[in-house]
Amino acid sequence: MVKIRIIPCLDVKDGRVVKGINFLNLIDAGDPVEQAKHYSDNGADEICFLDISASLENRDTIINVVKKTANEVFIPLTVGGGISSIENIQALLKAGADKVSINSAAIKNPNIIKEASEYFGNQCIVVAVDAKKHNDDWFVYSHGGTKKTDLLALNWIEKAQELGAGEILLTSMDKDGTKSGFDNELLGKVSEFIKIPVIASGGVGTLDHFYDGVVKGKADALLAASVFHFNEISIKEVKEYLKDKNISIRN
Amino acid sequence: MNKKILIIDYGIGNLRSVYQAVTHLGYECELSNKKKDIENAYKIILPGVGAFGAAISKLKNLDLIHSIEKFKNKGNYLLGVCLGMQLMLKKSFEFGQNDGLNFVDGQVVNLNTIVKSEAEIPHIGWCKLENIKDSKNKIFKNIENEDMFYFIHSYYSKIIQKNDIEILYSIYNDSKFTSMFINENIIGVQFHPEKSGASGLKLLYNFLQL
Repeated sequence: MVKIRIIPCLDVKDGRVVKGINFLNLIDAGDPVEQAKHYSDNGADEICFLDISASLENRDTIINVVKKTANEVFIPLTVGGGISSIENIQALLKAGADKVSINSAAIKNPNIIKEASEYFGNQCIVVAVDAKKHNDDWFVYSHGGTKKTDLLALNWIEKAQELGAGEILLTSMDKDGTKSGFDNELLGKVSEFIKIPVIASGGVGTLDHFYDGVVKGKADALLAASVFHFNEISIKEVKEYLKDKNISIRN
Repeated sequence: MNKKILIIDYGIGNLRSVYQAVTHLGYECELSNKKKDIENAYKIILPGVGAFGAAISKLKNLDLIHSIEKFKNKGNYLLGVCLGMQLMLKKSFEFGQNDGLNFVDGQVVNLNTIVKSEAEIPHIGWCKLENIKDSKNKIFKNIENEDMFYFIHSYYSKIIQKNDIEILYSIYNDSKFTSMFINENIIGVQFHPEKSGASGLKLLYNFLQL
């Protein structure tokens, strides 16, 4: 059995975590390094940072955050947000990231997936896809979900796989923030369709939702942000719940 | 004797994580691609991610292959991590055929030759070392059956000549694959101990203690 991975995602702006709360024992809830370490100590299988810094200068702060995190956290780290070039990727990997997730830049120039996966290995290239349903089709959005593209999600994901993506991070914009569960219809379609692992994102609110993401959505990994940050559900609870229902996880 | 740990820096992969993990465990370490450093090292870690062919060319271009052999023949410990493990085999079939360091008689082959067709590749995730309880090697001190390690790979090491080599295996989608081998002073791990949380740090610490 494949062990389903649980991945907390931290939004980082100008080097600080936004929307984090103060966990017990954390001195500074805004410090991404402390947050990452907390999650790692509590059973996270990987950590994801999403850099939402607005300006280019502030994006450099993520490099330092990654360096400091890599000094203390010894589980895989994925970094996404605003990555637009091979140089960006190289700087992040060199700083200690294990994987990078590319979104808008890949839509603008799909060849970056090919270049990056040939250069760094496809295992470290995650393609992030934000999808929203219009009638019966899911369309891809770029620029943090603000711009609709003409790309159909399934076509785009297949292309990303062909170009060398190692994983797909699939966010449902319809579900994101609703706490009504993952978009298992979309996830199921994508998971059946491609050969690389799919990380489910957007919509998780209860323990059941994690279970459904695996069973109905057939996801390989489950990403969540607010339920973890606001301490509504702990990673340990998710894992115990899944284990009780015979889903294979890492203890 | 200088007990520094040497990490071979041949311009491939994320060496920082390995470096940080070793330092975190209280050991001094250095990155180097100099022949003299390698030949005189106390203990070596050979990391690596990416493609086999590119990695072996880089080692050749830096003229390090003979130095690594020389180091190995002294009997000092060498740990290959992920692609670093695969490089120690005889040959690889990743994007064409390439010869490896040939410290172990085996071939690097795609996981798709052993897993079911619906299995995802790359294999990304956590696995146990299934037969760890059969081993008495000191590298497994304090490591339990339930300890899991982080894998991220599309190819694996198929060991051909198994005499005298201790082989540990893991299971991906019902298929067994080599996750670690120990051939006296030559140790290879397919997983990333530097990314496997507390379990990985325990194993890395045990290697440093050998």
